[in-house]
Amino acid sequence: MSTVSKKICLIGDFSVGKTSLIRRFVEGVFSEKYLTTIGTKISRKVVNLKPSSKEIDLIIWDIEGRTKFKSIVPNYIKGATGAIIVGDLSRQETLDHLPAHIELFFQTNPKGVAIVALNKSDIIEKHKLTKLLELNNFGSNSQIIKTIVTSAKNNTNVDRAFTELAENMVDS
Amino acid sequence: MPDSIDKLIDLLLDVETPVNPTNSEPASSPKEQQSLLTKPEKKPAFLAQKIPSTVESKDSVIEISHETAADNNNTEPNSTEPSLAESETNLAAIETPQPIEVVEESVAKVAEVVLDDRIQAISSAISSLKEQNIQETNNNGFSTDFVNPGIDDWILEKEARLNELADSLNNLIPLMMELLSVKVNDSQELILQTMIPLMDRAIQERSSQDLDKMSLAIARILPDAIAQEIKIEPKSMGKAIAPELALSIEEQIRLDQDAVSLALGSEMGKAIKAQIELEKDAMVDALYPVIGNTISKYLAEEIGRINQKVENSLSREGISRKIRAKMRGISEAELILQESIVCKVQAIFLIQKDSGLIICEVQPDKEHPLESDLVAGMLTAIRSFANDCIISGSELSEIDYGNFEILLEAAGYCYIAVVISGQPKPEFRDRIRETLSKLVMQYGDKIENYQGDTSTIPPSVKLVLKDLANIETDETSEANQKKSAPILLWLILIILASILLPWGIFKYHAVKSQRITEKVAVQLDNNPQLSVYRLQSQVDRKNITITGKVSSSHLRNLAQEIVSEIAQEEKLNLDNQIIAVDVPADPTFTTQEVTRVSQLLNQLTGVGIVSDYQDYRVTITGFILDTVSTETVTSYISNIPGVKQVVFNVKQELPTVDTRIYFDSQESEIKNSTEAGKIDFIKRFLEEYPTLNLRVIPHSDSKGSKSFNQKLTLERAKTVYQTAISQGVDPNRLEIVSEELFPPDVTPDQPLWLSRHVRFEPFIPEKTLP
Ligand SMILES: Nc1nc2c(ncn2[C@@H]2O[C@H](COP(=O)(O)OP(=O)(O)OP(=O)(O)O)[C@@H](O)[C@H]2O)c(=O)[nH]1
Ligand SMILES: [Mg+2]
Repeated sequence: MSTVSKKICLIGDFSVGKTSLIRRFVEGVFSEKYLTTIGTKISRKVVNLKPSSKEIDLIIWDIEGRTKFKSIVPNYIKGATGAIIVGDLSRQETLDHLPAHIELFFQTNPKGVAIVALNKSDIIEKHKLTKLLELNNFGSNSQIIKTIVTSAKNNTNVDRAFTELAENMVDS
Repeated sequence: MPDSIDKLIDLLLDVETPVNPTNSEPASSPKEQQSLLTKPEKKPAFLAQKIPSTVESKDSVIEISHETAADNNNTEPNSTEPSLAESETNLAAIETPQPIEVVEESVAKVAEVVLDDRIQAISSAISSLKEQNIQETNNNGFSTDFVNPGIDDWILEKEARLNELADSLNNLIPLMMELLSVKVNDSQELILQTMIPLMDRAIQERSSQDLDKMSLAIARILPDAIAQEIKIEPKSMGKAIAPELALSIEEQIRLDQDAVSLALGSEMGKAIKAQIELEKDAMVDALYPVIGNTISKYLAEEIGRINQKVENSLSREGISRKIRAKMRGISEAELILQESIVCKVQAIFLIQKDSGLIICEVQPDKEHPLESDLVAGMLTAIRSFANDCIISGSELSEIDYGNFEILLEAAGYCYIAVVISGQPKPEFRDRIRETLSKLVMQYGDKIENYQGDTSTIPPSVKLVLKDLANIETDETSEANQKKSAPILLWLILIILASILLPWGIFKYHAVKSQRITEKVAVQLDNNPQLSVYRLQSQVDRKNITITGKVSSSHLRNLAQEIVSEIAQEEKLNLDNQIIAVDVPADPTFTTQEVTRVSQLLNQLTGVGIVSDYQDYRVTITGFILDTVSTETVTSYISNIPGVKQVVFNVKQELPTVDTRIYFDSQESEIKNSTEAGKIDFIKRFLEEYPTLNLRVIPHSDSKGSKSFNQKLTLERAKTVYQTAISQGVDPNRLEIVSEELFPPDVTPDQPLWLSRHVRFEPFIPEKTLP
């Protein structure tokens, strides 16, 4: 069968770890160094979906968090089937901005699906994690598959976030 | 045993590549050396091709004389001629990396032979060869180093040298590829190899660069460029506006309903408005093929084309390069360059506008495919950035990467990106448009609903794209022109006829025969082997007659082949009156070519030359600092048609400048007229060596703090620099460089004043092509 290509994008404030999540998923590496993304960077990875053994070619758009050209973001996320909306568990304001990012994505792509990734779980104490997860749950929105705690550094849930998103994209 | 001796001799000849004889001589030595090399029969594969091989005759000679201060008028070129066989092998050995492997292999084989207890035979072979070599090279200095060394040592040493040679070649080749690929016709793969990583990087870099700068850079150019285009060339306006007309209408409606409704009539305005409110992209789809491809654009562009034709038929000389150059608004040289680059489609992508997903792709070169998904994504990002953030509502239509160009054409839900190497004909843009409108008309809905699954796209889409990939045979573009425009062509011809009544009567045949003549000329000119000759064609009602002189019957037949195709198409007879004689190539062309190639060669490090062409002989003056470059220069220059002899008048070492301008303690002003007079020397030096520039290097004594001295030395350098410029020295030829504060060659026990100076160091400037 032919491989289906899908565009997904990572959205969130600057320095929340979008680029790191992608690098972890695509290249399997992590770096402490922070190089802010300018504009957008595109990567690609073929994902095998287990039960159906379907193949999906993910074209991953890493979108700058620190954008001066606010109006350009909708252009970059246009035509995406899925999104990972990323927040930084160690910076409350990035979590506060999650709803705005979610809204922008669904406005631009009404039929899209998304996963919310609460990143940098490695630097958060266990007992705080559950609380934070509770506070930032977007379960009420049916297009949000789930909210998940991730760490690009420790490779926690990174593959899972991408794969679950991919699975839900072929269904939709 | 004669076999292994033969092998050994071959090997020795190969290994003893003439590391330039003068290398061992101090540059200032008055001794002169000359060696004559026969012209290399083969050129390195990547250098070959475009240059017509018309002067392949064995008797043409390249002189290489490494000269010093004295002149070489009284030397006898033939006295030091090495054997033909040797010099050829020598050249072969440095051409490509392969021969080196072969040699290495032979070294291994020889080692076996040695183990095989046949040292006797071999060393006798060597010594006889050695003698022979010594005689032949007439004490040129490079055979003495293998008098009686142990054979193993000798082989080891040679091996080491081979490796060095291989290394330097490996370093040089990619560089030369890049620099000289302009000239390469058939080795497209090689260009591609070098370009692909660059392109990927360029695309990535562009995106990761500072957005502000990028927008600034583009924004500065865009409005001006558009304004200019519209003013100067209405046809470009057509091009610019046509594809966006639909979009503009939509935009205009959004901005100013009334004006549009008024203009279009209230009924139409409303209808369009309603439609647009329903579905913007669908509307664009619908409008694109209609508006994009018709009146406004054609009117503008056809007027341009007709103008060209009229201009042609008015010219007495018929079609000459001059006119074509003028028509395209470029210099003749540029035209030659443009035509020498074969244009080739590297890839065509049909991309969904929003998602950047590839709907369909064609990559004719299967060996080095582009990472299409990433390229498409990046293009989409760049495109939407340019279109929305820089000038909204405008369309990014072209991205340039050196010899590569990406042409973009958008409609509805998709756009086409064509990655092209070389200069496409202007008509190619039309073909892209046609292709796109065909695709949008037939498959618009499939494209709109594309979900990333290529199996939903009919295979015929790919065929349409493939068709587009086969560009640039002139027949196709001519044919397109003929097909697409007859009505308007006539319309405009009629208008022109009424204006230009005196010409009206001859119009039809003139235009027709002019068109055929032009076609013949273009085709002949497109052939690299024929483009140097002045071939002419005449067309009457029944015949195409071609006349001119070429240097071989092979070329005559080649011309015959090319023109007979056109004759068949036009249903005319071909009368081939071309004479095959040994005629010289057009000297103007050769002069231009020599200059152009020299400029290219000057981009190699350590090469700073000026070439002068006269009476089939190129005299090269200036500096070439290493032997490999000498070979390169030789093979390039000597392969230019019309060049029979290359005289090297180059130096291998840069001259030293002993002049120093001294300063008083803690002073940055030039102290007296003696010191000031030294500026004049600098001026004369630069006049004497037009290919060299000078570094201005200031120093100070050890008194005072470091920061003070740093400032002081800079001031001193500036003073010298300014004084030199005020005396008429070209500022571009001086470069202030601050090195160590204290001069490297003054010791602490010497007087302080010795350190307070500005010195000069010649260097070969890095050049960019004009
Ligand atoms: N401890 C920890 N640090 C992380 C993690 N993910 C990312 N980082 C660090 O956070 C910083 C920012 O990461 P990036 O991935 O560049 O952030 P970004 O979201 O792409 O930022 P912009 O491109 O500016 O929008 C880097 O220094 C990363 O090393 C994580 O899971 N744990
Ligand atoms: Mg980033």
